[in-house]
Amino acid sequence: MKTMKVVAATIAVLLALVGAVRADELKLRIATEGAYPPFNSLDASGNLVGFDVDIAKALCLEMKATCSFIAVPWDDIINRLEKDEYDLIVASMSFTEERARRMEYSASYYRSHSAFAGDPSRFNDISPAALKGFRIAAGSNTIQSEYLQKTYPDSKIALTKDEPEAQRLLQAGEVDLVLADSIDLMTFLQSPENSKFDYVGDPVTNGFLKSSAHITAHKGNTELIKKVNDALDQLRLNGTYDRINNAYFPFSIY
Amino acid sequence: MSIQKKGIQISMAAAGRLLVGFVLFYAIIAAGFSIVFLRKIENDARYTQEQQLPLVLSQNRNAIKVERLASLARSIYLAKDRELERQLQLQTHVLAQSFTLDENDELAKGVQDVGAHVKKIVAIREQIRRMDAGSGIGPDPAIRAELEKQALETYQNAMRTTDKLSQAIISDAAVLAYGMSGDIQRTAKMIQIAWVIILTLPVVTAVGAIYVVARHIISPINSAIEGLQSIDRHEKRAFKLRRPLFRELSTIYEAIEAYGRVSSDLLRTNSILQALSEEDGLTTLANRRSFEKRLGDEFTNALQRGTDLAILMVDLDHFKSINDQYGHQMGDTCLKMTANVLRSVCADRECHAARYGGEEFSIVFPDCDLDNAIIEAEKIRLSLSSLIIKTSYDKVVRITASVGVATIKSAKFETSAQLLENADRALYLAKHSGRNIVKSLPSSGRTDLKSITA
Repeated sequence: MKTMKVVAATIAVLLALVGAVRADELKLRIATEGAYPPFNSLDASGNLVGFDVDIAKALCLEMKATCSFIAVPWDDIINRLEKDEYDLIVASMSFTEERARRMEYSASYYRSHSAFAGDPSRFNDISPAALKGFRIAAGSNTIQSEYLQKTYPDSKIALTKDEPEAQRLLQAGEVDLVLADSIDLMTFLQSPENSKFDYVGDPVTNGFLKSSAHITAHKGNTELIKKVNDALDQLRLNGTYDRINNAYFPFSIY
Repeated sequence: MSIQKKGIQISMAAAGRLLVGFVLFYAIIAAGFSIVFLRKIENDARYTQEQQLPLVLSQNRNAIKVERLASLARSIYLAKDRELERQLQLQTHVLAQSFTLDENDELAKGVQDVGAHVKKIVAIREQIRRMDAGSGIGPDPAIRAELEKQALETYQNAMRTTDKLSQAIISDAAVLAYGMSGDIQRTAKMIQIAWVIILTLPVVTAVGAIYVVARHIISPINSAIEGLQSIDRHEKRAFKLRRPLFRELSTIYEAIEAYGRVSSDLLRTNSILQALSEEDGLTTLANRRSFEKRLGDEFTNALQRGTDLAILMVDLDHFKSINDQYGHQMGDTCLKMTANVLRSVCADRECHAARYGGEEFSIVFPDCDLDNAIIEAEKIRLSLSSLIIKTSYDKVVRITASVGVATIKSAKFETSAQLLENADRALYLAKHSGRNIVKSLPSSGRTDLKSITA
């Protein structure tokens, strides 16, 4: 009888706890970079805008979560997640083995590939041999910077804190080429003042530079990631995703 | 009653266990099948959800993208504006490259071709623009027309390619969708058949069980009951019990059979005992007790029917001297011979002879008046007196008998005992009249008799 009472009490307490957790509204702190247009950037009044931000807001709505946003420099963005300053990163985070050891990954929410941009009259061949000695810029701690350091050891690699910085270097003639995400570069190349630049070289079909963007959470927080994945599916199904996509890009990037 | 000995036989308990075993086995099989099928549906659904649907969706997405690519190419061809061409070409580039993200080399290659065509159109247009703005040499209309023609051809090639790609994507998607619906249909059909089987088998089993119970349990029990009833009714007919399927019933059958045997043995013994109790041991004629019963019955019958009834009392004369002279064996022989004579009388006409006691015999003649009775009595007296009985020393012994006759209608009798007494008195009269004679009392018999005895 005594055991029964203990068991009953335990069950009651557990139920109460579950009820309490249920009753608690989901509150999420979300980080993004804020320097990666058109995916995420700060507008004139300092608000975070862009494809990533809109997707994150749509996800919050779908998960019925109250979300707060914070812009974090790319170099710090993983460290500060690990310090539990926020719960999710929605910042076009591509998948690498190394990062996957530190964070929990969602399903991809868009796919892209990298491309070189530069003066098309100067460059056609983008093989490591042809680019020997030339200066190439890429954002630090990106899949592009990693790729350059590995594949182009004889080129001068300039690592920048973010993509706009790399693009400025190209405009200023301080580097000859930029290796970056092709969608990101498209926005850069489309502005009239950059008309002398273009994509350079053949389409990059290298598997390493094909990338997929993901939402990430604390290592082990599979519960939250599952919620995110379910919400992503819902966005895909109810057309929200396409609506956001079309606001930024002329074709589907999923 | 007998039980057939051939045919298989099992115990009811074993049959029960077999049935329970079968039911369990069946339940497991049915559950197994259900689980397998449900798993299959689940797997199919998952496969559709995880593999086929994304494929169909990606085909759909690619179709839209190819369409978009075609419209970009069209816009570039129609743009004729350097800045607009550049914007569109950048978009085309990224869009074309995005196809490399899917593992579809044919599509990627076609799209790259379109990208190349677009690039060529832009290049031709750039050349025309340089010619138009030409420093030195003015625009040569022929060359310009030739270039425009090249641009048109390139544009048409690009359109042909995108059309081909769209077609391929749409038919791929159609094939996929067709395959999906086919899979679902096949699974549904299989499940339908399986469930028909799963649902039919218990019904068949139940019908089979009812049949077995009816034929091999209820019907044998009914025949067993019938057997018992027929034993109760002392029926002699042999009744065949089919050898039952179940061993337990067989035991019951054997018990019934044994009971039937014992019962018929008892019946036989009973009838023998009954015969013995009604028979005279020496002459095998009816004894006095059964004779009196018989006489009572016949007396009642005669009164009811209004017919006459005669009785004769036959007494051997000087029988004691035969016993004394020739021994009791000879006496017994004389009694047996007398019995044979009486028996032969009753073989010719309806009558009942009995040994009344000692050397006295009695015969009842139903429906027989006094005259006839006297005639019969005379016949008997003569038959007895003409008997020649030889002793073992070849000496001849002759016997005579005195006979008293009485009939119902010769006087007024209320009981058979009175009739018997009347016949006795007639016999007494015969003995006193010198023996070897037939006598009856006159109709006013009893008073006369009194006077005689007096």
